[in-house]
Amino acid sequence: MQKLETIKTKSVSKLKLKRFSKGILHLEKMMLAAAIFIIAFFIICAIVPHWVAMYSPTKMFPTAILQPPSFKHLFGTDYFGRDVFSLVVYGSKTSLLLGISAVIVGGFIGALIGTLAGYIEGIVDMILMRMIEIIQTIPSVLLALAIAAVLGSSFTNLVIAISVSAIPTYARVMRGQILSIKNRPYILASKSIGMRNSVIFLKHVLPNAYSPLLVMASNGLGMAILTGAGLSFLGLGVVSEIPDWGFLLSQGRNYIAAGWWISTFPGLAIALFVLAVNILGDSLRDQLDPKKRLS
Amino acid sequence: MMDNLLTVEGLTVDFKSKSSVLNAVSTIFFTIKPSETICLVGESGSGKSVTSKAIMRLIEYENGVITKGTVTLGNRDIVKLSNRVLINIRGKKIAMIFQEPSTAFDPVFTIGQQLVEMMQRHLKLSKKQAYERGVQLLTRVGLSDPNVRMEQFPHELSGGMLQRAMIAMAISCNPDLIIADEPTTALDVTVQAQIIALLKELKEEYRTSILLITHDLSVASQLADRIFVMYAGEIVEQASMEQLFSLPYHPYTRGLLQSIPNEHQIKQKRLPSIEGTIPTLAEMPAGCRFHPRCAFATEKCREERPPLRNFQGRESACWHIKELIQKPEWLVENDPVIEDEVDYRENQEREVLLEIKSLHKYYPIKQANKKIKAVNNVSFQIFKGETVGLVGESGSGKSTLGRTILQLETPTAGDVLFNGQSIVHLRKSAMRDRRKHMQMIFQDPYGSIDPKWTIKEIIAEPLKVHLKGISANEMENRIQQLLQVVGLNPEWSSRYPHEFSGGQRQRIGIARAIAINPSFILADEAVSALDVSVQAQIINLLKDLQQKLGLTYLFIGHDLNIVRHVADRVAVMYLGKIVEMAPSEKLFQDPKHPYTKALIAAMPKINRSHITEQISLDGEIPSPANPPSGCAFRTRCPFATEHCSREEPDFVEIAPNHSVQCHYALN
Repeated sequence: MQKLETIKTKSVSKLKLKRFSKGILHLEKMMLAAAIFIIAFFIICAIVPHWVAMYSPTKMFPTAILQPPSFKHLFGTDYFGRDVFSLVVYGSKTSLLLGISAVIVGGFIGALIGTLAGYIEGIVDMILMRMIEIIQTIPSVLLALAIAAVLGSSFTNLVIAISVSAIPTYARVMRGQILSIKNRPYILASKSIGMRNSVIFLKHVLPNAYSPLLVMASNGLGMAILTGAGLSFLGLGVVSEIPDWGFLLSQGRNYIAAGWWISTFPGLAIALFVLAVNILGDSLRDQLDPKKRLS
Repeated sequence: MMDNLLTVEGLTVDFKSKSSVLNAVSTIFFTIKPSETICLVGESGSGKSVTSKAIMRLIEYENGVITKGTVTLGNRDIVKLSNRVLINIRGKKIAMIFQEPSTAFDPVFTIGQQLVEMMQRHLKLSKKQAYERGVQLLTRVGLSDPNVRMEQFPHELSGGMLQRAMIAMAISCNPDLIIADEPTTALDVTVQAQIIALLKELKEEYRTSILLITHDLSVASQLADRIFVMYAGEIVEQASMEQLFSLPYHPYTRGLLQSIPNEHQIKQKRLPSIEGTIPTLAEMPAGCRFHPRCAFATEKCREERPPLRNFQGRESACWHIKELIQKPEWLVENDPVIEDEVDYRENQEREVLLEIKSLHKYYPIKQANKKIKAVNNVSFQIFKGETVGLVGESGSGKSTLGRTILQLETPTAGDVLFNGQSIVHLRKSAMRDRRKHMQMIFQDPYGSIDPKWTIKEIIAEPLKVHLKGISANEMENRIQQLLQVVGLNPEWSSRYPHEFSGGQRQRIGIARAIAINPSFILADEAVSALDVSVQAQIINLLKDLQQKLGLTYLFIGHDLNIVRHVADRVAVMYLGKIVEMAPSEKLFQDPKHPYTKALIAAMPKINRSHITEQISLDGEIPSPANPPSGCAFRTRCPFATEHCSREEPDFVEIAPNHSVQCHYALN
């Protein structure tokens, strides 16, 4: 038998390399920790807003209308004299729920369609992809608008509207992934040892296919919240006395000259949350890839 | 110094990525004289391509940085030039021929447009002049119908034709230096021989210097005046072609030379190989970089890096070379040939394991009524315990034949009997059951195992399918045992594929193939993707396993030397048909089919004389969608007659165990 293909020598360059890459790894871990912290904070805001917010979102301070940020009102007050910080905290619930459920529903349906189209091919592929193309020809906001207008504005309908408009991208990416992975040699290798197609699909094709979807979903979350905001702006949002981030954002637009803080802080909240989710999504993808797994 | 065309002094190239700096080439020195051909030889990862790209300063587009050293062309240091000056040197002074001709041309422009553009740019010719010169050049590199070729797009030309066009492009501006990076690696042997012959002619005619980069010492021996052997980013030996091949001055060179199966070693049981693999850039050993794989390494080698020292006009980076070349075993001819083994097999009472009966596999293509006849009426038998080699150029259908035998492709017609039972029209579940007995080893060690699975899971997969009810403990033991058998450390079972080298991954693939004790293994180009030294290790492993486990192999390969070494019988395939089949030695010594004869003549050999050999075979394999009438080989056959185009010859047994499909079987 041959000797093993190992080289058991200490090498100088490896040590140097380790020190160098340690710094980068450290930074990545810090960013990941910050992202998790931010996401956790927003989730707390959504579940138990009264722990975080100083005032009720409906409470008005008639004496302090359009006040810039101060210690009393961290993010200032709006034109009704409501505390913007409290509004942002309370508004997180609807926005987060809307974004997350839209991404889950849209991503799942899209991935399912893409998987079917890519795996079965032929006539199924053709029909499904033509349907996807029809959806794609309509601008996504317009489509969401149309659906919301037809179904009426409730939370569920809003989720449906936003997720339908997100389906095509997920479906296309997933189809491409499946098509390329199912022709990889390791799939044939599994066939050659007598694996069932269903097992090959579940254990080889799917696990190798879905990681781009994770990144897309984390980007899509931001898009979903913004589409939700857009619909709110057009009056098709969730009707509630507590406005969501999108509604806050669009309302504040009218006062941008008098009070920049009204729309800036909800906007920052969206940006921060989306950024945190993106970092988490990237790191999740790396964790799922054995080549990039952090040790 | 002044008469050197190119002087490389202390060139060092690093790769910078987000998280690391890796040293790919460290302080190398060499010179190229006008009209000299020098060759950089080494395995993958030795830094030879990086060196060539550094000379063109193309390495900067791949995250490489030249950190030290000078590259002097004429009287200018290329390392210091600005990009504006560089673009006038690239193509004009230094031209490049790439490995993969099909991807080196831009697919949206015609060959003519790309040639003309280059000449207009560098030679300031008018469009018309450039076009005329283009036609002349294409004629010179041996392309038929040059006027037609000028108007064709890259995808309309075959690999060999494209490589010729690429050479035309390289010589179009009369460069001082041509860098040819593995110019024949992607081509079939017959086409490789043609391209080498062409390069040789051009070398004489244009007196251009050539820097040839190759992993194949036999290609180097055909063209090079001087050879530089690279290992792990360093030059370890420099010698003239004659010196190097008569007496290597470095243990690595010696190992490389011995890894090539030659006529003497053909029937030997084991091929000499270099143990281990080339170190990765991140894990360079201290001292002499070759010492972990060197049989002669001493304490000094482990600690101090040997410099490149001069020995009567040649250079070697080995501390002990003076003593080593005195040793009797340094150039020993290997053990005596064991001939009786071959004869023994022939006289044995033989049991048929697989019988292939007029097997057909056609693929429909979009053009109406046309079919690609990938496998066209093939019949042969494989006996228990033997190795059948299957050779042919790419496009001959050998891989498809292998897969159709294993029922990984559904045959269009014909039958395959395994142990006397047909496996063609079995139900899915029954076929899955049969797979226990027939396994496959794949060509690509990188693609054929799932990157998301650990080694343990990969090897356990067939066990789980076929040995239902095996306990976790037994499974664990079996995996450990298998890893040991294929020469891997059992402790590595929870690692992922990317942590292994190509050779090690191929061992994983082999462990998986033998996990459930199959009786038949299809090895589809199982060693083609590996470096020569590692290739020999895997071949030895396959032969050991055959003896130990009584395996039967169908070994598909394009390297005839290796097939000759492994196989008991060899089948030669051309355009979907087996044109000749005979016991290995008989076939190689006394080929009856003109195609077999041509293939054998095109086999790369160490050529110490630089004499241009007669090209064995013109042209390239026709498209299987449109095969010639009558005998498929007639379009390239020097002996073809009217009769061959009208009537297809039968596959007849002209001697015991020796069948040929030719009207005029050679005498």
